[in-house]
Amino acid sequence: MSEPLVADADLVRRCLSGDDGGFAALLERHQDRVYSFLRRLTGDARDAEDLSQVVFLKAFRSLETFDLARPFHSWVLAIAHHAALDHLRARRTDLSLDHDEHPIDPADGADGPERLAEAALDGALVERLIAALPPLYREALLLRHGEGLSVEEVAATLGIPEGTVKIRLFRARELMRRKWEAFEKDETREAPRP
Amino acid sequence: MDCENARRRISETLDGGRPDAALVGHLSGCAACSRTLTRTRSLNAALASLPQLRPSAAFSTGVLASLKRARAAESIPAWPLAAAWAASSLALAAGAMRVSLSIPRLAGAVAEGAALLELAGRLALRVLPAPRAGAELSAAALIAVALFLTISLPHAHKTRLIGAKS
Repeated sequence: MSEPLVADADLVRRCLSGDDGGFAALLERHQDRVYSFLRRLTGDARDAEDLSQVVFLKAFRSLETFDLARPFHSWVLAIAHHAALDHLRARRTDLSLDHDEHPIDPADGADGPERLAEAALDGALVERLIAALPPLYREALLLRHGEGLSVEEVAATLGIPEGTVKIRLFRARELMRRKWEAFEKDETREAPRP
Repeated sequence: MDCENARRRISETLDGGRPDAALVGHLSGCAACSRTLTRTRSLNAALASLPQLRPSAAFSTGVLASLKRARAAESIPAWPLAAAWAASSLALAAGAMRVSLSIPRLAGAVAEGAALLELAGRLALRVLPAPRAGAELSAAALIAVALFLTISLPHAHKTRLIGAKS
């Protein structure tokens, strides 16, 4: 990705000096990534749009606390992370943020996964696999791979130790991979025999 | 190295860790873990290539309109709140004078000043666009105190004068 002509920090400075055009440019630049993150985290387009609006309004009100040396996108994603977790907790009080609601049989994929036909890993399947993850694992993966943040940046964004991020990423990958293999197993079972 | 540890090390390696000899050795002899490595790489690549989603066309317009309203609320002058503070302070001062029973005429004058200030603050809060909730609540609370004291003071002062005459 090419560097923008005007740095985010300069746009923040413009906004702090009373020029709302600076914030309009920041919004234009970051709205898709914030919306995408929230859309995949909440699983609902309307919730994601409402939350995105809350996130940008909060960012606007908190701009004075923004550290200009820090990337703006990880700062605004940190606000999105808090907004999304509050929303998910409010939506379902019994929601476990780090437990798999659709546990996988430990035997899944253990009986010779290499024998299984490999399903095409298309975008729709990946979206389904992500949506099936517990929210805390989902957001770690989305930030690490969807947003391309390093483990250190993910830790700073979520406000947790790097070790915790690595554990979440490991569990998220395990769950995704097993769900993928379980999906393939189902596909193989359902495929008509020649 | 068992398969569970190997899978943990694979995940760490994909996050920038260096593969050690034990992992390399395990992978060379374990087809399942080699497959795990290949599949996890595929998943990571697929995640990285997911397209960005776009909010509705009205999204940015809505956010910027909300920002404009927030700016307008911030630009509300502070004097109505200051008037409410002053009104309540004067009313409290008048109350203190009344309790001391030493200067009732001055207490009445101060109470009238407090009532005027309170009225000005209340009108300003009604006329101006919706101020921030915190300021509004603070002002309302102070106005309530001022109103109570300014209404009760003239009556108490009059009662005291009647009592003194009789």
